Amino acid sequence: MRAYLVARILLVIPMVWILLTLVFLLLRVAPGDPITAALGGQLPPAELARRRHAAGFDRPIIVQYFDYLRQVVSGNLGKTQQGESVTHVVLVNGSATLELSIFALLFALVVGIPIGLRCGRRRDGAFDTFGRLFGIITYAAPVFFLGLLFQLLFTKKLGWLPPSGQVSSTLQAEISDGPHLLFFEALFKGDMTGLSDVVKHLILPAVTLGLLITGVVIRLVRVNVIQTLQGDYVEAARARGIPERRVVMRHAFRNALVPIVTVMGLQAALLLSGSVLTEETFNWPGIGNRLIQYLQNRDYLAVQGIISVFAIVVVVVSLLIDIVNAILDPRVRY
Amino acid sequence: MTANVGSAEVGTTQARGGGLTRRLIGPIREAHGLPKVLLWVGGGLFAVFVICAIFAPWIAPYSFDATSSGGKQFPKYGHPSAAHWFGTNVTNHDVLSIVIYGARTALEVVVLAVLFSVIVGVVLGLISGYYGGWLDRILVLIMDALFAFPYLLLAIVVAFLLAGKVGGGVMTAALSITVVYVPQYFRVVRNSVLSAKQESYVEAARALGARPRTIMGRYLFGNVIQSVPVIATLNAADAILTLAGLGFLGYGIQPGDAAEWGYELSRAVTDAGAGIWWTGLFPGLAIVLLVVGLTLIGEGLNDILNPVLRRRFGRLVVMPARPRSQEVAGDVGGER
Amino acid sequence: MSRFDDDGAGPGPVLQVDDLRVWYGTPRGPVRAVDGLNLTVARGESVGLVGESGCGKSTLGRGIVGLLPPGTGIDGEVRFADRNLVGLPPAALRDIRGPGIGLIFQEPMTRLNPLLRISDHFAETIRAHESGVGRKEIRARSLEALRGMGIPPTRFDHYPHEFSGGMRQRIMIALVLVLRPALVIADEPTTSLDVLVEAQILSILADLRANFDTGLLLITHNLGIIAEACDRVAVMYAGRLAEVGYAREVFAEPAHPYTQALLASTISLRTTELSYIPGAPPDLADPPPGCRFHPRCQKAMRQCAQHEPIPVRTASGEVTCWLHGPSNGQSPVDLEPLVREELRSADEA
Repeated sequence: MRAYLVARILLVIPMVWILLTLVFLLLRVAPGDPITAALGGQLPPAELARRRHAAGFDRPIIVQYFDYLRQVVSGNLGKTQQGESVTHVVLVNGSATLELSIFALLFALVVGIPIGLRCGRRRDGAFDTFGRLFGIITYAAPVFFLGLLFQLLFTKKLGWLPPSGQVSSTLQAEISDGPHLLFFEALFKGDMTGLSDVVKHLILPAVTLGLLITGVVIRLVRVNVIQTLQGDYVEAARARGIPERRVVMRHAFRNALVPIVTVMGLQAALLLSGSVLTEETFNWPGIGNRLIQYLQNRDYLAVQGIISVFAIVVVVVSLLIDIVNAILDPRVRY
Repeated sequence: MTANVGSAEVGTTQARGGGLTRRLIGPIREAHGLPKVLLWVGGGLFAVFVICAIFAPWIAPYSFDATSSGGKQFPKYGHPSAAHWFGTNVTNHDVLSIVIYGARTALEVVVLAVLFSVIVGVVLGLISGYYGGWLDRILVLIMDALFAFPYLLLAIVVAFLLAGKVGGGVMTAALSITVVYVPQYFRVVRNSVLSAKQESYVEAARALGARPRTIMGRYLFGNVIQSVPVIATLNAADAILTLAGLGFLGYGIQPGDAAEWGYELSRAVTDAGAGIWWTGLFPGLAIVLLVVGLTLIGEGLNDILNPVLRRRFGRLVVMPARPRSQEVAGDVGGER
Repeated sequence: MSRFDDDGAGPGPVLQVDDLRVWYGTPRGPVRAVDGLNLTVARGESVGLVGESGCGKSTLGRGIVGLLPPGTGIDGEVRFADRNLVGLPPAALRDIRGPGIGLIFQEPMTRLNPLLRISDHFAETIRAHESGVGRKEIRARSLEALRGMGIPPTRFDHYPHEFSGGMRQRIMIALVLVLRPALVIADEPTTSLDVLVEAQILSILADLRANFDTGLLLITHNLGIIAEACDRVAVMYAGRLAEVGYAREVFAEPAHPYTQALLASTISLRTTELSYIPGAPPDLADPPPGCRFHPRCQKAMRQCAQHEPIPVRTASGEVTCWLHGPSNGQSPVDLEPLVREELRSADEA
């Protein structure tokens, strides 16, 4: 086990390196450098040249490349056009996105796994048909459409929940400048009014994004449970008179978790994309929101910094998934 | 992102290659029960949109960018009425016409995107799987990286890079989406090829001196072809969502060029605050129904073609009454 | 001893199958895998069930314990421990599977849960049927069962993928035996193993009868195994029994043409040319009328194609073939050899 862990963790380095290289190349496929591409027609050449020099874009590309790598590794992700440190932006807004993602994922798992399990057990029954349909529709409805409907219903019609933001403007002043994991902050501080406010703001975005993932989870669990239930060892267990409930949970479901976890890990990308859209819809101060702004302002350096972080996150998630798999499945470790 | 319907991805029956009929059309005709229902409902929904797309100029009451008709100006934010079934939006356009023309845009983009992805992905997968070596390794690395990347961001970046170069929103959008889905086909096809390569009939073909092109075309292609339709329909469903996402964020089709549902929804977000629901509901429903239709087709196909999900037994059997028990006779001088 | 022993009711058979039918539901219509089969297994007796692939042998094994896909039709009587297993509620069937009847499967490589240790498999099995058994006792009993199979206690906590195919099969057998069933059904237990391992396993199965008086139903397509390991043999064809009898006698003087053909096609050092049975086993969804073997039988008569033969008792057992009567009520025409056109070559399966 230990040997596997060490080898796997070491693998992170080349993976990160490859992804960062891809990011670097992607943002320079446009002819010239990011600054010229962004502002080429809008600034006098002298100003352009000055900016390019300041950002180091007039040096040979190899030098730029290694500079970039060095900077990322040391945590310097550059500055935005407004002069903010990109690292700071990632910390503050990235944590807001993290909070949203955690609760969305939790929702998806809590709702999706039991439904998927029941569908897989009683295949083609009434529950299965409705469960599948539910999963298909929640995936088909774009996040921004669902969000829209929820806002119409819960904010406009019923007035129960706020339509946007992470926290009410009245409490905005109390938030520190650090990571915005407001739910956990309020929980630890024992601040009940703050907590309830945060929760009210959290519900709609988390459920909207969560429903998207729920569709994926239902389909995933269902197909894998169906597959494992057909397994030879399941038949052998039944032949030994093992109670059906245990056969389903301990043999079929537990074994289905391995491929489920693997594919779920790949959904981190889905979660990130979905959160970008959710943040737009609900004006959630997350990293996706910021990314869109930077893209619109053609602030390529900031975009490069943020996407670099995404790449690293993806690699780390993949590492975690592999570790979980190694815990679940003894065959992987050898 | 297509969840690839779980680990099983899409299974193939490893039989001799070739025989499109035997592999695809045959099983589909034989299908019964739920998968058939899925196919019909999905196919029906999809057909509705195809009809809208093809016959838009005849079906839609007005053009998607018309702000008046017969000399009469359209109202701004007009409620759904006899003249405007789905109402009008903030720029005085008829929502129903937008929805119908939007179908045309969506299908144009998605058909192009899926076609490109399939061609590029399948060809690359075949070559990579068959030849192996360093080419394979590099391609796998690139594809895995693309696959792991958030699809929307990838599409946005590509849309950016292509903006203005390929001309016309439709092509740009289609190409951005292509980049996102090529890795899926590549991966599935490559896996298919790798397992098919081990089969004895491929070894035999090589021993007989068949050219790589022949082997790939005749033997490997047939195995691969079975998994593509399911993935293609599910990818098409995804592509519609990606297109809508791009439109929502403003990176898709420009509003003047064509009607696009995602873009309409981005404007509808502010409308919701004022209680105006029809500008968002109808385009949104259109997206949902088209995606559901395509997904149902894909799920139905998967139920039929995927050996893991196929139901060989399971029909209820009603047995006729037991025939009278036969008496065992003694050995009454029969022949030996 | 198994708690499913007869309660002093005398040495009755441990298993009695009466007119069993098992029909699968498929899109093409019901497949009559087992279609009116009678069989008895006495206490401590070893009965071999032999037949070609696709004749329904595995279905019989599974059908006895009710391990069938949902929707499958089952009818008839399977008497075990004074109850009819056909139509028994699932909970009661589960109680019998394991301590009453044990099932050994064909492919040992995939029959153990890869995520569970061997010790977990044993604990789960024992706890499913006996409450209040402590960990120490479970371990003791499991180790003893494994020792009988030649698996050392040091490997008790290993995972299945750490064992070879032969060892996994022995573990499977130990899992079955740890509950001391009164009857063991072994479905092609050695088919995927090499001959040395096969010999080991057969000797283990032989010990069963000697030491524990366990009944054994050995399902296989290999006549050699049956000749060596079984007291009686039942020859199955297309869902029915062609012939049943004491192994020695049936092999010395086979009564049914199918049995004769099977024996003729086995290969030994004395074989000079291959002989085979022309044609292929019938489609069980649409079996031939009359005797199901008649299309391939060299000795078929007219009536074989029209009426199903009736089981007839012989010296060693029972045979179901018109060649052995009963002969009342038939006209001479019926007894003439069957004239038929060239057998068409078998369709691809």
